[in-house]
Amino acid sequence: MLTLLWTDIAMLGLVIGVIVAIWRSSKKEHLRRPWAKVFNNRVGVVSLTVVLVFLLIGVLDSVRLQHHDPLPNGDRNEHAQTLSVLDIILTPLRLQVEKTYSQPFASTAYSKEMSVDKAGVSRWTYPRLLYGGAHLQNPESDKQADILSKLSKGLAQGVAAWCVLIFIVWLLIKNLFNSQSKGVSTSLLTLLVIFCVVGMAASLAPYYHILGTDKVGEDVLYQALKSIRTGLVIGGLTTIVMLPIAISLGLMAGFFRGWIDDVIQYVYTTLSSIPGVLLIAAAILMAQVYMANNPELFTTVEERADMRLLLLCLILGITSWTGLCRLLRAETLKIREMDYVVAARALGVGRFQLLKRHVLPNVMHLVMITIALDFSGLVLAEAVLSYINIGVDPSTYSWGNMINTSRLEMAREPIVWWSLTAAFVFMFSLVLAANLFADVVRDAFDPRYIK
Amino acid sequence: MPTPLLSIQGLKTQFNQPSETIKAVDGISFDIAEGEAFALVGESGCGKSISALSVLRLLPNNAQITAGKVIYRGSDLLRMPEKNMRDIRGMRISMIFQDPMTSLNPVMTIGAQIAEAVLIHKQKPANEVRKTVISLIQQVGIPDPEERYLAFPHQLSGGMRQRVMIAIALANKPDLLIADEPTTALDVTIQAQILQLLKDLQRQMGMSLWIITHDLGIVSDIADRVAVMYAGQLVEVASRDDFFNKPLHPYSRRLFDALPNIQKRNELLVTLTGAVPKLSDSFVGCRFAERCDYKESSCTSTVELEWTDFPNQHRVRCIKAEQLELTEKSGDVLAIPSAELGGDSSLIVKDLKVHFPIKKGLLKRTVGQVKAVDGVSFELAAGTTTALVGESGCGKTTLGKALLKLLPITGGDVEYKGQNLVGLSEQAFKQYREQLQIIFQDPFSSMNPRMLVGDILEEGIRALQSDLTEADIVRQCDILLEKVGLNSEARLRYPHEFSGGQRQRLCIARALAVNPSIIICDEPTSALDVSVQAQVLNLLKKLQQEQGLSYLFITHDLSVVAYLADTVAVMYLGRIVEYGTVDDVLNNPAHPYTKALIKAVPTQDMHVEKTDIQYVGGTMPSPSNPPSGCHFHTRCEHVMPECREIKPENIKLSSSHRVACLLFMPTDG
Repeated sequence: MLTLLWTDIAMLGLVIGVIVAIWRSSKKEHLRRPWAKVFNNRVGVVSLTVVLVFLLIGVLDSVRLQHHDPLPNGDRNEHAQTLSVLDIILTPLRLQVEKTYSQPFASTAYSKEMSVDKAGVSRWTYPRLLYGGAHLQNPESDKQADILSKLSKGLAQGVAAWCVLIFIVWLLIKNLFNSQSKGVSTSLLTLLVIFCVVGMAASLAPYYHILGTDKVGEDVLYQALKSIRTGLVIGGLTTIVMLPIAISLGLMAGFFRGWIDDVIQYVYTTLSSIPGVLLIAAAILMAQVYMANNPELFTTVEERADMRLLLLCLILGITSWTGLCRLLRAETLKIREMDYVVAARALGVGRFQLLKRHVLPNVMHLVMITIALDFSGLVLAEAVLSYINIGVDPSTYSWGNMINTSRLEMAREPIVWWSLTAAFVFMFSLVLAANLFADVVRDAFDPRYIK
Repeated sequence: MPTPLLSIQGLKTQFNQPSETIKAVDGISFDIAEGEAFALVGESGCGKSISALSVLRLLPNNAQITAGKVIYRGSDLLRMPEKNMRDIRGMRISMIFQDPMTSLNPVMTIGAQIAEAVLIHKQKPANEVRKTVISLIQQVGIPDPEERYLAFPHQLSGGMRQRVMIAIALANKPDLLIADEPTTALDVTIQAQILQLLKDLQRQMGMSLWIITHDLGIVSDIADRVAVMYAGQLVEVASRDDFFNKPLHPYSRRLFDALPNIQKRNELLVTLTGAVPKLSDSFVGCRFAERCDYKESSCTSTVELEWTDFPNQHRVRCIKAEQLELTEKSGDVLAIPSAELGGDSSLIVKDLKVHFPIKKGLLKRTVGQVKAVDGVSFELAAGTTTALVGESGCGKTTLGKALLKLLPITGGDVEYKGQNLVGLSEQAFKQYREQLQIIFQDPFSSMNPRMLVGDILEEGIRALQSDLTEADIVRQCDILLEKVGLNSEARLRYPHEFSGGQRQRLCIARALAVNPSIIICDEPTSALDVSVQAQVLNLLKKLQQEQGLSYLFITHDLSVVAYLADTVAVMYLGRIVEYGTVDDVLNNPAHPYTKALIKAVPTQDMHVEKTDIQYVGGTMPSPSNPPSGCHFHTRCEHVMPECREIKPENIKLSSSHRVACLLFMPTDG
């Protein structure tokens, strides 16, 4: 049975909206041309593929089912859990929880413990992990060979899966390899790399903690993958909240001038002079009080965490529209005096049409750039807010929380580096891919660049 | 023959772009003698500015000089180390640019900017520098040099700024001054002042002048020798007199033919077919052959055309130059419209006023009025053209926009078909929108860059007839495009894919989309080259013939007025100072301002004596604080004491001619 939380609905709605928009624009010749340009650009295709893979993980993590975990004896567990499709796919990672910290690919714990062996002698040793490398008899000597063999097996599986994919695509589109487009081949090559990485990870993950475990023994790779959804929700949803406010108010202020302009200017000047952190903290605290007073509305921990995430997006959106609004107002002031707007007025075109057809498309580049910059900024802001405990719920997986918890261990000797590194690598690849893609799209859609 | 000051030999400059190589300058050679004024003429995009920048080695990064020599006083500038080159630039050869608005630093006083140029090559004590700078400011004819020393660029008018630029260029007494379209951004009266200044300075200092322009009038005014450039090459080099009396290259001839004037009123202007070839192409033979009327197969058979020499150092790059008997070609004669067009559809403007409030302070109180249009009356009869002439800032464009109710009207009447349009609400005015349309000056900003041409045209059709089907609209678009001489494929392209002239045609098509009877043309040809201007003027004239359109033609170009207009209104600071038929105003000007305007236009007619013309001095006062009485009294050479007090009324000189000037007051006591 499908159960959806509020952010799931928003996330899926966003994805469906984007698909519909792409489908509709693919029917128009003049919109197909710039997209064809994007798909002919190697950087564009590679970054798009990476973004799509992140998006796929995010979507898989947003479809929640009532799941019955099998009991150790093979029976069906009567107690159902709400799990996302991603959770179910990652079941081994989710369930193989160690006692505490362990290094990547380790077979023993990170710190020594007092243990009593069969002979009854207590010794100060590194205990063996419950799952990581547990299948090995003699980890010191066998581990390297085992990892290598599993790597090559995973690699082979990845390549095989890729070949199957190519075959399916080829069945669907016969003239795939005859087309001149650089995009298809680049995309397939990127996918090959991704498939290989995924294949290797999939073959290793059930036996080792590839990125180690954290303080409570949870697999860091699992945490990092689960955090993707949080990152996408914060980046995407906040933008969706912020864009309509910024665009409508910015265009209105610039176009109508007069008292409308005055009111809008006063609003955003006031809002931007209140420290954003203060607003966010106040909103989150209010929400917490509300949730504490109305426990009947939020029955599960997940629902509470989800509501907090949604609220965070909302409040981030409300505090971050002022910058874009200011930019759009200034640009609109310029554009409304352009000859083509005057010419349209002379033709008797209505105000709404003027805004929609002549002003909005000419400020879209600003919107695009702002989205791209803000997306990365928001993913990073989440980390900062989690640091002062007004970010997402501590039970939510997020890169911010990962960084925040590992921060405490930075002073340890030897250092616990893997949580931080994992969060950094994942965050970096998402933000970089999104930025590169946004750049290519902007260039393709600016008619002045089309030569 | 003495050694020339600057000798350019086989200079080639190209732009390396990832997709193609653009040969902007492709083997030009000429000499500039000491004290000579040399003019390089050509249409935009033919490589004029790039050749000047190549000489000074100020090219952008993706440009590269591939061949040639630039010999200045015996040394080759192209092979000189950069360190020595810096001493040449600004010191021996200096340059002034087209746009005086952007070539000065807005946060430095002009004194400091001139002093910078003075100090760059040798150190001097501060008081000496100040003295030098003040004498330079005086030399370029700026009044009150002591006060101007501390002025910032934004406090000066365009003409004054260009003077400052000239002062900077002259700071080190160069041997050669390169002026790249020095007056294109300026008004005619200011242009005349600047040209006079350049001529005087050249005479005083004995320096050489290399002027780059597209205006043949300027050439005849200032140059000793002329070179015509076409598609990266020179096609004709001659002394001024030879060039203007007997141009030998077919391209030069056509440039003259394309100029509008009063004699050509009843015919279409001669235009060049096709467009300037792309400079990335490789050429065989004559580059102009494709557009030439005298083309033969031999024109494109030799790889590179050689010069043909004529007496008096007159050289032409045309293999048939000796045989060709180039005659002035005239265009097809236009049929005089036979039927009188509906007489009631004329536009009658009575005492129209457009005032803008000046608001100040926190509460935005109105503290004054800018009287942009201050009581203007005229009549635009159906099927005729009224030209509105004046310098920039005189309220021409404001008037045009106010007629379309794009700006609020303060007072007066605009009567059309018996209906006063001023009092109408936006809703009631909508039905008149299709009758009144507008075309703008800048073909680049007047179309939405993100809309397809088809959508741009469609917008007008849809705004007024919302019940058309898709197919009908496409058909109407095609008809419109055909009317303005464009292919129907244009519908699916973006505006930036078209050249300036084509865009201006598209703008005309957009205006025609609603079947207007009156089009307000706001300087539609001033951003275009001569040959392209001729095409647009022909189109406008043809459309007027076919559809009986009326034009309110806003311009500062009197030759266009002479060619196109039936009646002329001369505007100065929001008022019409003279109004009459073309013949009245241009041949018998009454108002001193009209006379000054006509005098200021440089003409390529060599027979006009222009030795001691007194150009109108000064610049136009600010419309927010206009002079009392007659607005023109501050610049008028016939100023009388009462001009400062009495606002002159319109005085009829004949049934069609009226003037607002106290000189023509009937002396009845």
